[in-house]
Amino acid sequence: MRIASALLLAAGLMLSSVRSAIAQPSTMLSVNGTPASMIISSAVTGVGSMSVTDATTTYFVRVKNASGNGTISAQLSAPMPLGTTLSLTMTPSFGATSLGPVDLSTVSQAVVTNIQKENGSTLAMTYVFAATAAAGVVPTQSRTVTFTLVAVP
Amino acid sequence: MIFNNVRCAAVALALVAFGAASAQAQTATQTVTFGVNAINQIAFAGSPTLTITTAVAGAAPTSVTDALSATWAVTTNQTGAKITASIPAAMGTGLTLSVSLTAPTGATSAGFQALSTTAVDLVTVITKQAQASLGVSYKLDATAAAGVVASSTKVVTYTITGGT
Amino acid sequence: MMIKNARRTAVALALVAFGAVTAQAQTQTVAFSVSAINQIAFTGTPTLAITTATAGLNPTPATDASARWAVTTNTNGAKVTASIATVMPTGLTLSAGLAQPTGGSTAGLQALGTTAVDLVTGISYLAEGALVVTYKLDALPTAVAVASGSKIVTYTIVSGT
Repeated sequence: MRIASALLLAAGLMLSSVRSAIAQPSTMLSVNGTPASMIISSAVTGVGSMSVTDATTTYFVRVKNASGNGTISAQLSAPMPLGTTLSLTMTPSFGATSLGPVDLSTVSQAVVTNIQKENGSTLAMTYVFAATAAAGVVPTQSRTVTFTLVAVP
Repeated sequence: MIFNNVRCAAVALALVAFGAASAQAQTATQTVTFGVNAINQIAFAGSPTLTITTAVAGAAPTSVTDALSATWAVTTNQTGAKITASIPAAMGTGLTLSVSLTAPTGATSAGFQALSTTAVDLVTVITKQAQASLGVSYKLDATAAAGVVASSTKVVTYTITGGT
Repeated sequence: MMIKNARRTAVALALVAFGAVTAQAQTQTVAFSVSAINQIAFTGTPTLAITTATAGLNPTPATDASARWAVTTNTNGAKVTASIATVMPTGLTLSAGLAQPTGGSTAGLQALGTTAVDLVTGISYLAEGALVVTYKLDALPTAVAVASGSKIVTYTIVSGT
């Protein structure tokens, strides 16, 4: 009877901890804000590349598992127009490594690696939209950047 | 009763164990908007000087050319841009100021063109280029009738007209 | 409603700006001047030989009009003078005359000495060439026969204003 009670208690505690985990996920990634439209309208005369930078948005990351194997990857919804690039730098959380600036494409690429246990930090993101003269006039358009946080315990 | 409790505990244990062993993943999205407007920009550097000092007897004063003092740069992301030039007032009697611009890659230079108050094409068919340190050559011609001309300046206005 | 209209106007403006041909102007200052220019040049190798006379008269003078001169001046009222370094031998007189360029005045044949003498005056704002140079050699009966000799004539263009 006592054994059964102990088992019940343990199960209850375990259930409770499972419920807690579901309520507050051990990994979390969110991006905050939308970058302002990056429109190139001038150049340094005679220089091959023109660019516009946006550093107004941030991301939030939480990784409860102290594995050091957390990675944030990013990919675009469609290729960039010829002659243009969209690069991204994400400020790494403590102990992590930034691989930026990373030229984004439709292939998922790591932007931050070695994410350690992180209780939750809001960190800066910097986009750079660049174009060469060969790109010509590029009509205003959008891409969706999909971020994926993978944390292996 | 005891058996049921144990079964519940086992299920709970299995749930917890299952959750602790797998990789965690999260996704988020963000929309980025971008574009490139038509860009047509030129820049000129240098202070050219032209001084006619001599002649071959029987011929007009010897023209002088300055091809070392000035350079120009261009950026256009359009097709078929061109460069024109003009001066605000005509040169004095018997004097002719001409200019020639080195064409950027793929474009066409018209060579030396005499400058006047009417804009004249110097370089055409400039397409999607960004180049700097291109040569600018000025030439001054004078007839004997121009006489002695004290040191003066002329402001040459260059205009880049975008293509399509 | 107002917000919608404003938004439509902004879009329309953006479309217009996007499609418009753009132009940009830049300037460069060019400095220039023309100095006073006075240049003359002479070509040819004139030869003068007195070989005969009419009895009772001085030896027959010799003339040569084979040489040419050219001038460029961008001044007003330039002139050309001539001289020789040393006087001619006794009884010999060397004279020179320059055809005037347009608007100038020639003094005709002038005897040459060690003092410069005006040959052409009033030369203004011109560039002309292939103008005739005339030399003349006069000899008195008292002149000593000269087998062969040469004289360098120095021409000078004096700038006008």
